[in-house]
Amino acid sequence: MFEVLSGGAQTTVQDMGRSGRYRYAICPSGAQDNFSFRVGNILLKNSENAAALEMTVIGPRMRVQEDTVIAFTGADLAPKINGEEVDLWKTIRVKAGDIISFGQLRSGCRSYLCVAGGVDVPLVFGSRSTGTLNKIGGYKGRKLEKSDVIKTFKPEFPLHEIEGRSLPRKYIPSFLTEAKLRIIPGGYDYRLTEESFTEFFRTTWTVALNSNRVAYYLNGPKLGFKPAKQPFGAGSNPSNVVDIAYPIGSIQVPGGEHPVLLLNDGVTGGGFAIIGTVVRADLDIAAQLKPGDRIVFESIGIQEALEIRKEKADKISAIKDITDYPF
Amino acid sequence: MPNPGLPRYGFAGDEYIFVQVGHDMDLNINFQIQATCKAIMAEGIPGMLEAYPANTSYLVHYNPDEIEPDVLLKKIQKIGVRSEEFVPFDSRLIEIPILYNDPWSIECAKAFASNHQDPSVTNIEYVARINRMTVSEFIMAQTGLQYFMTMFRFLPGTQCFFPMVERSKAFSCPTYVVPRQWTPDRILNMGGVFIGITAHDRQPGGYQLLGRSPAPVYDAERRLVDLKESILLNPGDRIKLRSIEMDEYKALRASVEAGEYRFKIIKQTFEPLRYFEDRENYLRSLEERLRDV
Repeated sequence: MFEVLSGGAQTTVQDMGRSGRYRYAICPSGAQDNFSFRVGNILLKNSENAAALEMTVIGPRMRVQEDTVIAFTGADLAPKINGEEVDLWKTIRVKAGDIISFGQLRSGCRSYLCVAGGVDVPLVFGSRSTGTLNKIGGYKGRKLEKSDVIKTFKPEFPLHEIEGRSLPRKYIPSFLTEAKLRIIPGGYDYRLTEESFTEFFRTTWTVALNSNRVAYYLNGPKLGFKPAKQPFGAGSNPSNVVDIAYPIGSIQVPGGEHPVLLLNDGVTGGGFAIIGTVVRADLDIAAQLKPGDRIVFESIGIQEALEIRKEKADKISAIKDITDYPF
Repeated sequence: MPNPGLPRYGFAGDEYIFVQVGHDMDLNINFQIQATCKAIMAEGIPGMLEAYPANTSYLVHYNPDEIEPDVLLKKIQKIGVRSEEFVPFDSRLIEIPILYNDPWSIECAKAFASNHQDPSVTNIEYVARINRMTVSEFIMAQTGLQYFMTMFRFLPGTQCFFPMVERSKAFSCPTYVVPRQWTPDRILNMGGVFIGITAHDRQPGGYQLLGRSPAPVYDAERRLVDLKESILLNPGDRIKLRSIEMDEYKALRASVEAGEYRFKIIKQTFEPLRYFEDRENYLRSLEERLRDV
């Protein structure tokens, strides 16, 4: 159990998200950096899907209310126990009364606090994740605030068996301020002019300030659409189509400006043409970009996308092996 | 009318297949999409997570660890071709009472007056005017239609309805110039030819505000019998709006709050071919049974 002394910028309960209900306009939510989140649970010998806290840029301040083991993964927010800095990617024993706090962000954007047993909030549509836009799940459907009390499930293993476990250095991802995201062009990409389609991949885009768990908005040049008669039932702008369902990771360009990369808490459908979709594993990388950071998109096909997917799966398997993960 | 180059099948990242079936909104296309998505779901393909019908397209979410993307795509193509034949399908007709030009829509419109094309009139007055009708003519026209639910979009339980009328007779309106930050729940709203009913209190939106339903169409707490699955409607269902006055609104609202309200719902088999043959008479015949409920 933890008592929240201050909530930080945006601290939410997340697991791997809700699936299978997207067609009812229920977005998945879930940890944005799936890799870092899962590694935290693997180190703690939790179920991979055990709920954790996702912290964004400015961490919370919390009081530990009963002895447990925790792990910090993801962005380096300079985590501290009782004012002393501690390692990320390592399981740490904490005692009742200990104070968890954070310093200045050093790298990345989203950090995870995983806890033995996992965070105990009710399942909503099969997941404990907080939807920041639809306000479902998590802790009362919202980010954490002062005086909230976060309960945890009883760990499956005795604490002494799970403390002091760390991730070998070679598996620790480094979070840079410029990332390459790989995307399969498609959807309505044919509606962009050829010059704009080329320019999209040539541009170094900047993550805009209003970016969040719903979407990243990107700053860069204006893109143009081919002149065409608007379809019946579509909005009047050439970037509009008759309403579609948006894939998570898809990119739309409303009015030709500020491409929008849709993330886990996104709206599930609407009337903007999508021009391509970022592969799942690269959304982990996107999650660690903060406003001001830069993105270059690389166009790939499905075979390459599957290889990227396999690389991540192999890395997770190797980590499970090396840490004697029991599940 | 076949669309050249369509349907267009494509991979969207490594977990989705996006299929564009048409350009223009058309029930011809949407009936096919509904049938295809239902068939994909029914097939029980391992690794296929869900098929999400939209207006002129659909999205398939799958797990590529369990099925080869190319294999799934080919299966979907086959199902798509099979669904080009119009076969009858289950479709419920649901009556939704609406208090048009209600005080909550007016209050919300006032709060966002600067976001609107013409804040000197209420939204429904604006919509009626640009369709060259009086408000009562507009209400008469709209309540005379059936609307077809094509998809969920945006936020949980938010549905999209398309008018079941020839294109030349469909009235329409622009959306707000600048979207609103909030809208009350249960508000009948319209953008283009589409309508919806807000599912959440204070949800953002940009459609014109026309009226309010005493009963919700989405309830996460599942307080009404008709909302035991949280949602009232599904794609493939139809609605008919009934204009009510404030007295009835209040009485129905009280019954909703007591947890006793029941919607008028009739289960029907919808025959697309009969619909295309003689739209008006066919819809009329389907509506007749509403009177007996």
